[in-house]
Amino acid sequence: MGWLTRMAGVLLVVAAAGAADSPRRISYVADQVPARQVIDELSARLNRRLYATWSEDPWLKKPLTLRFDRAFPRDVLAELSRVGERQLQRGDHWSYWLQQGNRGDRRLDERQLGDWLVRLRSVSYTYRADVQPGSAEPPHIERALSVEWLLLPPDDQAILGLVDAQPRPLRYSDGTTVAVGEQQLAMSINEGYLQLTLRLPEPPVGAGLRLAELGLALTTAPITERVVSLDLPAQGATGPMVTAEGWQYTVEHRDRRFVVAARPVDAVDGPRPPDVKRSPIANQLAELLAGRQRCAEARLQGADGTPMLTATSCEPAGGSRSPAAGLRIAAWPHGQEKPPEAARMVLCVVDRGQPAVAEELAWRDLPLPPRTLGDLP
Amino acid sequence: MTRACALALLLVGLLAGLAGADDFVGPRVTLEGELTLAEAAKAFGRQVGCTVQVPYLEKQRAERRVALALRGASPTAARAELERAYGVTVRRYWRGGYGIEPQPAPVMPALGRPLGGLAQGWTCWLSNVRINFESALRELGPDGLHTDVSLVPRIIIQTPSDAEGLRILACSLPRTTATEEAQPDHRGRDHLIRWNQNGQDPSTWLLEQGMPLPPGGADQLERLCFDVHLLRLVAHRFVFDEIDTPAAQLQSDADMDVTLKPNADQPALAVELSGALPAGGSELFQAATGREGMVDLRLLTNDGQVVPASIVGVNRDSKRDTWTASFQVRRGDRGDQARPSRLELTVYLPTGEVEVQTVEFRNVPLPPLP
Repeated sequence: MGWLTRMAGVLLVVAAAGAADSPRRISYVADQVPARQVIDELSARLNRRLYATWSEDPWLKKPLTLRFDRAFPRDVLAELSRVGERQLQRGDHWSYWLQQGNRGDRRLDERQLGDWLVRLRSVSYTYRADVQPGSAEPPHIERALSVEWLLLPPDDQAILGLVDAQPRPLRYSDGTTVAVGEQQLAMSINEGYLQLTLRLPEPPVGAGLRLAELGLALTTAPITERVVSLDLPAQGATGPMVTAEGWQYTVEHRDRRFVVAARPVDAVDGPRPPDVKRSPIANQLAELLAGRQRCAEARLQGADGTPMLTATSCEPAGGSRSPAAGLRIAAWPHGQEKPPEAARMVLCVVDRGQPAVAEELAWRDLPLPPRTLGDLP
Repeated sequence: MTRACALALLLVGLLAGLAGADDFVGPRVTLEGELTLAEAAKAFGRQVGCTVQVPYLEKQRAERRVALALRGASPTAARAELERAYGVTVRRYWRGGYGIEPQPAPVMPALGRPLGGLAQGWTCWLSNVRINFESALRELGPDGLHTDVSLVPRIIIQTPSDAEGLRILACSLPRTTATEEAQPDHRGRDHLIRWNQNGQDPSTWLLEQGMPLPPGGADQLERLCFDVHLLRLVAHRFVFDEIDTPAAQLQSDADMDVTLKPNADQPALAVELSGALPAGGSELFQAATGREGMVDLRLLTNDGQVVPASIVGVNRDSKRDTWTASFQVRRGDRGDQARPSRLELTVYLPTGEVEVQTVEFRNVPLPPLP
């Protein structure tokens, strides 16, 4: 739970991630409300534009009933998809398309890890055989087994909470084991979530072979959240420097953008941390954090307090990765042809705390997919 | 198909590529006399309007002179001759630039055939045949299994020049019979597949399109076919001798106008093209110009050196009776280059009807099934 302070036009909330009054939680009630109104209202709450693929779609008149009480954006979107029977597809970072049909998010299993969901999506076998016509070389054949997970943080900013992901020794039902060094785990960002793909060497031959044990070690860290409400200056002007809880904020109004310079008051560069050998995925995640792109999200508000759909960019100030340099954050109206004049900005900046210990997740006795055409049902 | 037979086909293809150098759109290359690699590369670059990077070679190899006797050859044939004569690989690094690598070009085993029915000097190669098999469990239970099996032939079409490469409008899906009914698309044509261009080389096209795996488990396909849909292009050439003139310059021929505008604010030239649409030619024009590369250009210094340049900011439009296009010619950003004074511009405009040619490979080997 956080605390509040108001000083010189600044409202500041510092909260642990997921606190009940966080702007990253959604509360909403709709009882038999037309879908068009629901997606407009949820767009405003999520700060993500929800588009129907066709403006005359009769589905937009379908009455929907939804109820959220301080829910995570991830769960709001999933429930809208389920109740609305529409597939949500990400457009850009600030928008989703509601596609016809709901394939349902297929999965072999799903676990909860803190506020995250760890979804085991598939176990796949791939066979690739190449022949070069006219060559005396024998055909080149590759066989591989792969396992895919989707890691779903509660919201886009919380993605910074993942510190590392590592495979664990794997065992087949015939007793064959695959050491960690023989497994290749890769990470990518898929529709705003983290996708992990584990590539394994060809499994041993044998009818009825199963994955006896499959493991994944995930290291997460708590997310801290700093919420600041700032008055906005007029076009071309720069607002006064505002200091709140050890940070200084200055807002500049350039064209349609509001650019915030945020820096810690007393931060000094400490000694450089010792070089630690990290996994490739830990390095990727450290780069994601250092780039600061996901660290801040702003909401512009009209004079009457109405929130506007707002896009935000964030980067280390001056390109420096020193914490003392602070952040350069730009916010601008998104998805509206003639947005109202913005009077205030609510800025939510997150940071990663100290990593917790790795948690190990294990899956047992999973079937393997067919590996020959003859095995297909 | 035996290796000898395949190689024989490959040779036929190359010979056909070299033989018909006089029937294509695009620049001609003449390389005659005893030339070093650097001299030959420079002459080649000047004639095709591209820069050519030559690597450092040991003295003896750099100074070795080879007798060349190419006259009016296509750029593709000239490139092959450079590779053969000097034992190097000539790669297209970007649209306006080649690079020479000191090792010999690899000989790719492939089924090949000349496409002489289209235009002289075209060749088509089947360089790889792949079977892809994937089975995935996405849910526990009988409905959770997803499978995908496909055959993916890799086909390469090599054309004599960048301009000839522009003639490919589209290709059909590959198929195993010559007479299969094609499903017309909404424009009344076959199901057209846009090919991936092979990197930055507009003269070479690559098709890697999956098709159903034929039943029966045979170790070869009797037939593999696809259709190529081709435009006919006419080259319109314009030369601006003094590109620094402060006023706009207009040149015209019977079919089109070109205006070169000074662009004092930026180190780029602004070019505007316009012309009348032939009757019923709107669709053809859209199809042909909805792609990059309807223009070839050379920026030259006073002494005939090619200056690296690229075309940016292309805008095209067509109204009921007319078409327009505009773009900027931007110089490469190396500061040590001489200032260009001359612009040679060739615009390729479509004409006539779209031609369809069926390409067929026989006795295609298949890899083993999973």
